[in-house]
Amino acid sequence: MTLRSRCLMLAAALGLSLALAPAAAAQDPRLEARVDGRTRAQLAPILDSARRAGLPLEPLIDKALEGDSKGAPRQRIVAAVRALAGTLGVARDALGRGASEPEIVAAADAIEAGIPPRQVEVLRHLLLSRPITVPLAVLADLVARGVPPDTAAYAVLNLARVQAADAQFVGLRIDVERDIGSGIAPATAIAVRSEASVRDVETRRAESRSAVPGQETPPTP
Amino acid sequence: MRHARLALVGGALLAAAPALAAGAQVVSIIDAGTGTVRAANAQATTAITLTPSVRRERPTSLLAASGTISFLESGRAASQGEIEGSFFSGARGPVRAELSGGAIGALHENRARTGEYHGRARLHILGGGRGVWLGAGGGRAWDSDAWRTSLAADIGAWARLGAVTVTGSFTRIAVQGVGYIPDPEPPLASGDGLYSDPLVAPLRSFHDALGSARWTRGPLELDVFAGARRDAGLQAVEEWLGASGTLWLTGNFAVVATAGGYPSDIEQQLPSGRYATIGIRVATRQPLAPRGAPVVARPLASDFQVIPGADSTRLIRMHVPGARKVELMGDFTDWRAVELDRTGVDRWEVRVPLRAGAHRLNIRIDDGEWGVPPGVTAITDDFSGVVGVLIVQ
Repeated sequence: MTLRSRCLMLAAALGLSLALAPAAAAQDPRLEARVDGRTRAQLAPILDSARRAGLPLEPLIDKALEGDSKGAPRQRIVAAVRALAGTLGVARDALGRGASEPEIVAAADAIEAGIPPRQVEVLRHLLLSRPITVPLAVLADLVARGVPPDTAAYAVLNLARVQAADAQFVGLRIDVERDIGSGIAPATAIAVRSEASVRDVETRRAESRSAVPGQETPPTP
Repeated sequence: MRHARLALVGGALLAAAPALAAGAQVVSIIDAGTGTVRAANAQATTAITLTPSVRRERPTSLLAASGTISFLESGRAASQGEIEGSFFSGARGPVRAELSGGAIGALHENRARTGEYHGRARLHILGGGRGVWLGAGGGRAWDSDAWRTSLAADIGAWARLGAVTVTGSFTRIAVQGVGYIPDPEPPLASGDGLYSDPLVAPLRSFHDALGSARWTRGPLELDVFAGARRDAGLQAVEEWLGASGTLWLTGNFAVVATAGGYPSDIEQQLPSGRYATIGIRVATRQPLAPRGAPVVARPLASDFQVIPGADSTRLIRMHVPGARKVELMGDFTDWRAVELDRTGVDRWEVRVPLRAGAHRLNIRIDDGEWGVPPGVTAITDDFSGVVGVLIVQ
């Protein structure tokens, strides 16, 4: 084999791999099985670009499958996946490189709901040592229930400052949901419940600090 | 200018659709067509009609608004706007209550304005693909000359028979001060028991009997209807019937043909007429084939629960009285519909893998629209529908 023919083969192989690279990203078996070829062809560069940027692909595939299951037209599916890829990028930047996939997805939901990325960043810094999927999900949920984004962020960040547990974030959401259901304005509900939740966290912490292990508290006269 | 305003209102209705969509199924439609219309005692005229409409549907409410502008052969235009809303109570056994209200305003070819507003309460008894209702209501109408009060009581029934849904109703309407109605001929005089002055005229009764049938199969929808009105005072009978066919060529585009007659409007004092039209329909999505059954008849889910299991799976359970099939799909099923199992009276459940975090999901009852389970936060999805966001600890 001459040098010239080797170079030609190498160039052909390189060209083929470049041509097939975007398609490979879209070769998820679920997409192959359920999404038509033209849609997959338009999704391929988006997925490929997301993969190169280190973004999780699963939420993007998931969005395409959702659109397909709901009978959405191709253009709408592609637009939704493209928009989500953009939001995931913003979410990942706000959370930092070490963020898990559920965190990035939850942050993207919060950002999409209207929470500024800067607030996501603050939340990340307040709860550095643990996953913040649940607080982020609660944040997005509160906004979806009608709480103004800045008020929701203020409430969740306040709870994060006192290192509330996930169950306490969820408790805040349940309380606000109940209040809204009984006719209280979302902004009022969050204002009242947020303060009470922070107090509750601090009280519990103070009680656990003052309790001596193995010793019962004497009854109050 | 007035017509342009109405058209703008129609456009605004369509533009408002996404805002209305939170937690609901919203369909925006524009119908454009041409045809002939012949009002009683008048010559047939050709018209080009544009009808934007928006319909927002939730399990406990329905809001529909539409506007119509017709460009007539005479060079003039006529327009009409309409809004209608209903609230439904939860189910108490087979019984649900409905409270509804609406308003209509019209600007006619001769520049006359008419309009009305009305309210109604109904009690529905539902079960097994059929139902009956009993209702009463009232309203006020403006016939471009005077206000009139009307009272109505109705009883009706519907039944789903395979692909066909039939509905029948009987309504008694009492209208204060009904004067001259230009149909039937000859024009009636006050000596016949009619009064042109609504202030001195007594209540006058009409009995309406209506029947309709809707057949749907795939992209094709066919409707037929017939009605008869008996004027209790004059012993006169007015009859009308019509049919329409809609063929959905894609999920957003359909061809619509209609023909038939419509009765006189006794409240607004408008004459009866006949029409034949053909047109196109562009929709944000194909409306759920309503199968003729009233919205109130659709089964409602309640008591949605997510119960942790010993492994990483969770049991999803809900109550859906009267349902034949309940399905669920979400990111945890790769958005494939999974059927729930009936495990008791009206109790449905399924075990799914559900890890901690936020999940998106939809439920569907009896092959209806994909909706959101009760108690789960509903947000708009990216596909003109809604999706629930479930937080799992």
